[in-house]
Amino acid sequence: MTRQEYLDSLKHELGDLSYNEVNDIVADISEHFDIGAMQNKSDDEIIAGLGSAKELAQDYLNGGSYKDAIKRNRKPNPKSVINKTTQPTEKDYGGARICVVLFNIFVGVPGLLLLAVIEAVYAALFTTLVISFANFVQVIPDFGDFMSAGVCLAITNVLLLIFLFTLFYFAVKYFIRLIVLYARLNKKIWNEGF
Amino acid sequence: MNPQFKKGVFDMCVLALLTKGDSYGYDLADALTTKIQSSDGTVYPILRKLASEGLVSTYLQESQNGPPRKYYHLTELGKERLNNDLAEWKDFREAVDEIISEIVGGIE
Repeated sequence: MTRQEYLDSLKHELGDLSYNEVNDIVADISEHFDIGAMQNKSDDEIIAGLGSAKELAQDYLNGGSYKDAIKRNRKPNPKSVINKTTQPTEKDYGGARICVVLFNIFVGVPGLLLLAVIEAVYAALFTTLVISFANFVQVIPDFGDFMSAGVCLAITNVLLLIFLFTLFYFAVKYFIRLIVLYARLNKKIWNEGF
Repeated sequence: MNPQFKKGVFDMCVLALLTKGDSYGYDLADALTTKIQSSDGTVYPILRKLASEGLVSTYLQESQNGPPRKYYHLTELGKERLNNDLAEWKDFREAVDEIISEIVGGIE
């Protein structure tokens, strides 16, 4: 297992903690790898020393200070049940959940749909451009004296198309990321209230 | 070693190690695991818990080679807790020793 695989697995096992907490923990363990590497230890040696990512994550989750993690554990293991009984009474999430539902119906989902439509239109326009460009390229050989001008124009168009495609690629990429973040935020509010 | 033994005293051990001066995770893990058989990983969740309870504070410090390291410092609250723990530990250890001294030499 490589360092990156170990850290990924740790992240995965820590899933119930907040983004910031997971990042903090991963930074601490990365530091351990850095120092180990400076002492000429291999990834495998360092990992053997650390113990399994699953156990390490469990230690973090059972670390007492993670009341949030215990609360968020839908299937609590026997160890955390003891802690759970000492938790203050669960607060009422009804209000927060209604807000989540209403926000999704009127703002969240329509907003995301609108963005999806915009990207679909963009994709359609882009495809049209590619087709007309293909047609244009076919007639270049008939240009005769203006051949070099036609080739220059074609090259310019290729660059433009690449640029437009890159834009589209990033738009889709960030759109997907936005959906993931939005879903995560919904889940968080749903489970924990505001 | 029985993990149940370690659980209760590792916090105290980490606090005790920090009385010798501020230190970073790798060093503390090393100091702990050379004496007590355990994985290096155990020390990090403990440090995080101690920090969240205000028993240690943290700061980043550049190292001569490589990226900066997170140092842990024993706070006043941490010193109080350590003194408490040490007193309890002493009583506990004496009581346990007393109980098991009757079968010293082990069970045949």
